[in-house]
Amino acid sequence: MRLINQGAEAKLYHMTGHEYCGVSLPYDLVVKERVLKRYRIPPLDSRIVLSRTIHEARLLHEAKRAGVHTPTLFFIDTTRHAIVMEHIEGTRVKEHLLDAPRASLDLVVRIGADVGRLHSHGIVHGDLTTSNLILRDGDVVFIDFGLGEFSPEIEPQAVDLHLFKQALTSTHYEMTNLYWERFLEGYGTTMPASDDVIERIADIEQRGRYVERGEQQ
Amino acid sequence: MITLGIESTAHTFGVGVCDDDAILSNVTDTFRGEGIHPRKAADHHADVAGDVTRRALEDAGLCASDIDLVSFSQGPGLGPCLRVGATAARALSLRNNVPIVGVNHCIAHIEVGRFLLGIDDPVTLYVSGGNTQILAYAGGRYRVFGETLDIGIGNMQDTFARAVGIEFPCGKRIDELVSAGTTYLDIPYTIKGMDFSFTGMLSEAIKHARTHPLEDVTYSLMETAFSIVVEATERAMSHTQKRDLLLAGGNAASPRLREMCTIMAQDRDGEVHIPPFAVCRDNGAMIAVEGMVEYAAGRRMALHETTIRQKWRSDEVDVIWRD
Repeated sequence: MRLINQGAEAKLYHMTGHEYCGVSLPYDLVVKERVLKRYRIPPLDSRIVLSRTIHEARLLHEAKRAGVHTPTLFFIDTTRHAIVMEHIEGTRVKEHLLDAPRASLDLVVRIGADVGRLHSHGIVHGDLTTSNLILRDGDVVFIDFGLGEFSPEIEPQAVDLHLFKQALTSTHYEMTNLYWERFLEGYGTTMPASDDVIERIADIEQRGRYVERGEQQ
Repeated sequence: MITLGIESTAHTFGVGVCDDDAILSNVTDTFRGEGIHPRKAADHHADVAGDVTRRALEDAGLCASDIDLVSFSQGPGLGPCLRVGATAARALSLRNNVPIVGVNHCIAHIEVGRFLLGIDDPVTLYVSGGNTQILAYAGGRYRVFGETLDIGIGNMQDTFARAVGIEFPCGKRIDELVSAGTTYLDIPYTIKGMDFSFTGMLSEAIKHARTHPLEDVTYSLMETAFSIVVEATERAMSHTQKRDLLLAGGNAASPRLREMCTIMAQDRDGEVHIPPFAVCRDNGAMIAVEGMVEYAAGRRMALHETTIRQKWRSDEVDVIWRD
């Protein structure tokens, strides 16, 4: 098992042995193990860590049912508070867009349509960046639902889009406007309430947290 | 440069004096009542203002004519209380013919820690009755990375204490109960990214108090509340890639919160810095330090610009004294 990422929340391992807890699978696996926090008392810590593990697994599963590609879920290991899922072999959309900015406009439309599918099924990803999208054989695979939630409300969905826009602004700054337009175009094709959500983004951007002084109304 | 700072955002009226290198005096007088009635607190401040100012000058071994600059808490805070401090500051400034600078209370909590402890660029966890936020410097501003969506942690603690019959001020008693508790009861853990909320857990704890021992309820409530703010702080540290954590605000006195912050920082190879309690709580010395730092960087204010700002957010302040 090879450690591929260590964050404040979780450790990510890549397993090539195709076997977990005695069960063999014909795939490479990723084990996402949540980190225990020493500062929290154990009964509280295990409650939180376990509920987040299960919550994330549910989001992955429901997203797939909504027609969006996500890693296939194999196990939830409650003793290690880990999710065991399919390893996605591909390139991150971030690199793909940076390598071929102009050639990728259709891809951005498709990403928008996928996000629309998630939202129309009441799934909010919570951390939409081009690093959390992987391109595999032409399909966009959504990963890391660790900050996600189930919500049919306009507000969290608009925040989801707002975060994606911020990610475009910081990483793909030369193409932000064009990508954003195409993204919304795709979003509108699959999300019936898209107008309401898009309208709310403007509200969010006007709130003090996100504007420089002087831009405020 | 001798600076006199006046604090009056909430229930504490404080006056502190500092020079370029050190805090020379720091006197506070706190309104005692159940909760804060803004007008009663303001009356208290007006009653003690003269005396507290005299004592602060006396402790510093100075007289009013030695002051080079007057600063005051311009906000955020309770209107009636803020007005007393602002009025006192204007009077001192006019009488002694020295400049006046209004400063942001939340930012003063950060700057006094940097001034005293020499920390360059911390993430600040500011925990008090009215405010609970996580602040860090980025791009010319102190940005709010996370904050309470409803009430401050201290407000929650006081409201809980009142509901279960603990006398005000409740801090010490709460700390005792937290360390005496043994059984963790289920309390909602509400955190969204780096923002959090306390009213849900408050209601649940008050409900638990009808059927469970008070020490277990208090322990469960405070463990949950502290875990939430420490988790949000850790996310902010991870996000900003800063390794120093500064604690500020009256609730920074809690031994358990200090312990949790210390463990969290250790585990991510960081360090916690806790200023003496006299400057963690609301006080005049931090306002003096903030005024001095801003004045030195070129901040000037005309009298008509010294009106109070009750809802002044820390990220609205141009941080002209840092690069």
